[in-house]
Amino acid sequence: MSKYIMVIDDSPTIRVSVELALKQLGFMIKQAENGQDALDKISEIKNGGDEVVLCLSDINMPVLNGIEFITEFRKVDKFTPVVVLTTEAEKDIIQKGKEAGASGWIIKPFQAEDLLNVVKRFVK
Amino acid sequence: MGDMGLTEVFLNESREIIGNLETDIVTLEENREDQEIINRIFRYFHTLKGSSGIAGFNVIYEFTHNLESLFDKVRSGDIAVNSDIIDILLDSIDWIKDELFSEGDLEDAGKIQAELTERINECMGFEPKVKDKSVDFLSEVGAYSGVGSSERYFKINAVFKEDIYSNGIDPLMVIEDLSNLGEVIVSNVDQKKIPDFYKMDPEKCYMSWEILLKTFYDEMKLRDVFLFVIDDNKIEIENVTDKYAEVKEHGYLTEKKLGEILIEKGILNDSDLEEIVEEQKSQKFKLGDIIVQKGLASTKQVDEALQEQDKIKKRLEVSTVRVDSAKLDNLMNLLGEIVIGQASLHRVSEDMDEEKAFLLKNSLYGLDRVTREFQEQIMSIRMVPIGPTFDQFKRFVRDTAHSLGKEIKLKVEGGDTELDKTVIEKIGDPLKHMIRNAIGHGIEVASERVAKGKPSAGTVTLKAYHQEGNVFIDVIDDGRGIPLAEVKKKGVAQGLITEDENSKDKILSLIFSPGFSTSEQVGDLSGRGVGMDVVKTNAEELRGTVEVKSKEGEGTLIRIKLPLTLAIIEGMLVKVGTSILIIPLLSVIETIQVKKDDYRTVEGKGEVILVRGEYISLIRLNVLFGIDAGIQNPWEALIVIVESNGERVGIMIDDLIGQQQIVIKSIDNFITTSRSISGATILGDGKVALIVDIHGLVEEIKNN
Repeated sequence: MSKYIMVIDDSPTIRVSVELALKQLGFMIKQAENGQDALDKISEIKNGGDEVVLCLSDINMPVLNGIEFITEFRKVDKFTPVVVLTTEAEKDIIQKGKEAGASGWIIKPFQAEDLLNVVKRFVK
Repeated sequence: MGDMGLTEVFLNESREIIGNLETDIVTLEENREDQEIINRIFRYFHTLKGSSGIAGFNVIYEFTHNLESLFDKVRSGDIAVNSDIIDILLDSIDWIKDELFSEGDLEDAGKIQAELTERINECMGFEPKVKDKSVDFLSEVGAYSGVGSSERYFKINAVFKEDIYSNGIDPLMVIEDLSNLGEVIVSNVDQKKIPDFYKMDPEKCYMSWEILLKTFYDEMKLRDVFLFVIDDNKIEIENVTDKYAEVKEHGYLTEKKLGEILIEKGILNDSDLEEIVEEQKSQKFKLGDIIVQKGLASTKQVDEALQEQDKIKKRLEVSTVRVDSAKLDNLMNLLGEIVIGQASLHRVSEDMDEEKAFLLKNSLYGLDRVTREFQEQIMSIRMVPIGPTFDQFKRFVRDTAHSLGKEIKLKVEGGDTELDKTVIEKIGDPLKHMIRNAIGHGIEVASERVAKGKPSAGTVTLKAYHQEGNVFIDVIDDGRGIPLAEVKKKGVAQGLITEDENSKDKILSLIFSPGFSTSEQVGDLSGRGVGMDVVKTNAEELRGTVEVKSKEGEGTLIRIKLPLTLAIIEGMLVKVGTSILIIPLLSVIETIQVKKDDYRTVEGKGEVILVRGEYISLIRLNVLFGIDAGIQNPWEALIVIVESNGERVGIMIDDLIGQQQIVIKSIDNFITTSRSISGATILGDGKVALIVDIHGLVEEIKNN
């Protein structure tokens, strides 16, 4: 059974940089372009008998935004942590994220080390 | 994405976003109130900002941040779209395009960016900012910042909301994080709220924690652990250091009384306790007995509370044994012998057949780990805080200041920083020299200070702290600084430097030359300079270094850097001819091979090699020590680049043998007077190898 970390952001730069930073943790990493894409890919992973251990999600995304994604995700998965990727300007978003069921947040842009520190809090 | 680099991904993404932006901005010009387009443009800037920040394009990040702020105001209706804004947007896009995709450097890019930023700010109604970039000398060298290495005690009360798990947060992980910050002295879990088994919802959290933590971190760091939960859960962090600090003095904690524990557990209430305490005074019975007798708590509850009280006491108890320090020295020597013995076993394993060698090596690695830990433990026994040494200067400062008619405040930071006992003994005198100099020649008399707009009392700051395996001791004064021009003049007159020497560091370091003084007056205090060479020599004896920083009119910093350990170091074994020598690993930067073209002889400088665009001196150890030569041509040999005091030199060697812990055995002066040798050690095969003193070596090279 493989363990996946989902990286959900409409910016490929963010997705790639997160993937690069998290590589060393030894988890599988799946990129998604928006909330809907993420939900589809998560159910694919779960149907394949694998596990999602953490989602890292942007807020401002087309199709299905971060808050909508968390709300939908919590309907099918109560306990997997979701960390919101947000910018300084969106601090009120953090509160909305938490209400929807987010577990934590990290402010963009971040250093690889900071990201690792946050991720390590949620996955061991 | 395959193997595409992050920069490439970013540039592709930007190209796409900019294309979309151009289309949208042109549309916006025609439909100035189209909210959908405004939102989209905002999102594009937002994304561009995030991506550029991650990809390391900081200029773009700063710039798009401004554009994002501008558009945030447009989006919220604070600013209406007008032709000015459209112009700014299009010009900005052009600038971003140039910055990202143009070949070569653009001369005006900085200027255009500044202009655009100003236009954006104008639109948002900001006043142009004047940035004050001057950082004053004293805060730069850390005169005002504390060292914060002292122990702290925190009481943490964490009550999590019941549905915390459904936010994907496991309270236990948070608690674990916390325990990684220090030592959990007491941890109580309140289980009262757990309902009966058949009523319990396994998806809910019913427990709360009360933790007493001993840590070196500050409250911010602790809050950081709770970052994601502190707003929505009841997390209380209380600094109880004052309450527990007296533990050190009394040896145990007297604070927490039985009654207090029972109240905290919710068994007693305040008025019950008052009554019982009154009763206890008249009856002389034990408090616990009275409580049980009155039926306020069961014997079991009282026993539990007593156990808890005991537990706290034990965890906080500090017991000490006085040991003759000669015994510790002896212990350290014996450990040194073990390390040598291990090295010899490693060597034996090399001659064995593979299978047996593997087994032996595996157990040796285990043993290595234990001896390393053993060494650390012994070192820590030898460590004593520098506080008492600092304290003895208080009187000295007072007297010296008094005799000179100056007002001086002494500020001491990091008194609990621990140093090897030998170091403390040897560092006292140099510190005294430094403080005397700071008072005598650094700090001005009150009238002069007031005239300069400084507080009438000067401040001398003594500071000790650990950093990167070294101990630093800073002496900082807020006096007049070292007069660079005068030092230079004197240095030139004494033939120490040439007239065209302009390096500030080099000129300042002249104060460490023997007999160097710029002071015109001759008083009962030495001039800055006399004594500074003693400071330097003493620090070097302890394998440390001294540096000086100064700004005229603002102050002076003198920083002693000392290694944590004295007896055992990590060393690199190298071969030159038939000899094996040891280079301390701390000084080694890298080992390289040079090309024939990068080697040359320069008039007056001798042999040099080109390393990363810089010519550095090449040292042949066989010439220096008069030993057999091995490889003659630098381009066939290996070059170890070492650094001392910011000066780099290349040492030519035949081969690298390996890296191991080295036990330093001192060599008496009648055997060697070379400054380039700091000691010797015994290798695994019983041979003696000399340890190269990089600092002395560089000095010796400079002097010849």
